Amino acid sequence: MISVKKLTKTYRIARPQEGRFAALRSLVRPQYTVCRAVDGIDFDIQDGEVVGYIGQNGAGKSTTIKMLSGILVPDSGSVEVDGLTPHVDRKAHLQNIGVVFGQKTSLWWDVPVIDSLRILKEMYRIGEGQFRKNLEMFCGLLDLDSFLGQPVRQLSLGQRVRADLAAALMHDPQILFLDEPTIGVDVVAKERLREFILEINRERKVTVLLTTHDMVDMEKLVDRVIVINAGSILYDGGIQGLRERYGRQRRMELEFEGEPPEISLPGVQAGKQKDGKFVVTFAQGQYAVDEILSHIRQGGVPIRDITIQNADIEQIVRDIYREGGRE
Amino acid sequence: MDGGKGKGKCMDGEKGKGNAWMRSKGRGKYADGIRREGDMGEVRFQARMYVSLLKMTMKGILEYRADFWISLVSVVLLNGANIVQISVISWRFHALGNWGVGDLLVLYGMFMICWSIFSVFFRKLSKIEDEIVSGSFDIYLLRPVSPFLQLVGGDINYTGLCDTMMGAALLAVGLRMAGVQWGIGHILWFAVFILSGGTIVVCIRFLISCVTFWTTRGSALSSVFTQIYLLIQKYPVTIFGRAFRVLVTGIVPVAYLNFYPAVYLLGKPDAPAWLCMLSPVAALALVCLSAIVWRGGLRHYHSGGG
Repeated sequence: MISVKKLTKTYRIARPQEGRFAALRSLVRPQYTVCRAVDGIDFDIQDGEVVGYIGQNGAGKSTTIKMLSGILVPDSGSVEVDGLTPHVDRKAHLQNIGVVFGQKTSLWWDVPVIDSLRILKEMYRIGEGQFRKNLEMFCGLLDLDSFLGQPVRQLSLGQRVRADLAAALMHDPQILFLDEPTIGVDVVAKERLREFILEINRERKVTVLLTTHDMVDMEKLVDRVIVINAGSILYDGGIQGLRERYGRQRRMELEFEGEPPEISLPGVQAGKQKDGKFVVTFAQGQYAVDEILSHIRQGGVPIRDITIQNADIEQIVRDIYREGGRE
Repeated sequence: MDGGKGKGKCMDGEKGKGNAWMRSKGRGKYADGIRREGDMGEVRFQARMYVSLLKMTMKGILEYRADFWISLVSVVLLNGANIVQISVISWRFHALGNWGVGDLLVLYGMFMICWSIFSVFFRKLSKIEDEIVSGSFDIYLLRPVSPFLQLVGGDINYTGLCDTMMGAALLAVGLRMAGVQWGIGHILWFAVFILSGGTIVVCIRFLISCVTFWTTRGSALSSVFTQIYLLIQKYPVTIFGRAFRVLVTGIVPVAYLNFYPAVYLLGKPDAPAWLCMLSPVAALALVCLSAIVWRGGLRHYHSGGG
């Protein structure tokens, strides 16, 4: 469905110049800082997959999405989406995809939502039957009824993203690109968006590629994760594999009846956190939980409470970033 | 209106070509409900979308009802002021060589009419930079309609009609003072001159804006043009040096907004008739150049943020 090979995009950012006639010189002979936003990435996405595309700000996520949707022209490498090259076969390609940017709306700001949907119907040449059917479905799933008649500028962020999602799906695209769809949306609204995305993936077999900073999105939505850092892919695989590969650290929180005991096992970090919790972290394969516990009991201080966690995805991603940063 | 639509279609010729190429290359590839029409069908579709976009824009304007009514009242008031202005202008203009006051009013009127075509329908072109920075331009590229039409369809400056009316009034007064009788040929050429002149203003503004695809900030170019416009709107270019005449005829053909039309319509000896009749050629050349630059600009587009 989506195939990306050796994809590269470089930005030249004009560097402001200093000194005399700076403005004139920057016009005549501009100096640029070259920035490799996407640096030779490869991946394939199959029909019906939900793929999470994660990375820090400036890692190249949005640039990739913009090349996949045909907004940006790649410097080199190839992009193919459903057999089409996005920036070449623009119009046909746009019929196949729906795109939502969480940060900006694709709707008309000053007119009611329904008018935006109607003009999109014309633009995408959507038949009246299909339009009615989709409108009814999205009204049900996204609760659009309550604000269809309101201009977009009056909507809450959650409502706006819902309207944008509906707008992106009116023409029955087979692929959906979501760039930070849940950013800034409250917890309840986020949950509803996630349910909706899963629903259309299940019912309509829509392939979804989404970027997010929200780790709950990752855990609830995504089958597969692609981690990008500084323009290169660091990890591509299942979310379970991500945990196994990077989630080696386990974390134990303890409360004691008295002063916490001294813990001196090689490779184990222990200590009181700022919030008063006593935290022990250790590597998954190195120690069993029981070994750690019996070592602590030797100190003779009774344990009042204990919680053991696997490293959460957020922690994992932070670790990958750090690793990527070292290279 | 016609000038506006005609221009839209011209610009879209470029998109249409891309489409034809795609069609011939990918024939039969997507039989999944994508209706494929001939080039004429495509042009008609884009024209229809342009009208729909303008309707959306008008709706948006009407959302702010109070604002709309205030603007409408101000248009009426401005028109009243314009009548005063016309009398002041005709009183202040002095004959320049073989150009009488009436002739100069024709010059000024033609300029205003051409300019108003830009200001009513294409004002958004001077905002390309803002659209790029705010990311709205990304959205245009995500819809299967010419991004150019989406851009210009996003604004309609009805107060600019004031300029059209004032231009027409100046023209009428000027022609009367000059005592010119028009035949059918004059009327036809007048239409050609207005359409070409409007196209030239729009293309020049468009090309200046397109510079922002390459540089991050807009340039001082537009203020240079403002200066040139200030000169040509009031004075026949024959009073300037030869170099200036070559500049405004062959390089940036702004003399075709008003000077050459006035020469032809008033039967002035300042330039040969064939040179005046090159007006549509100049317009067409600019349209072609614009299409090429636009295409290059889209390839070079860097998008904002992210």
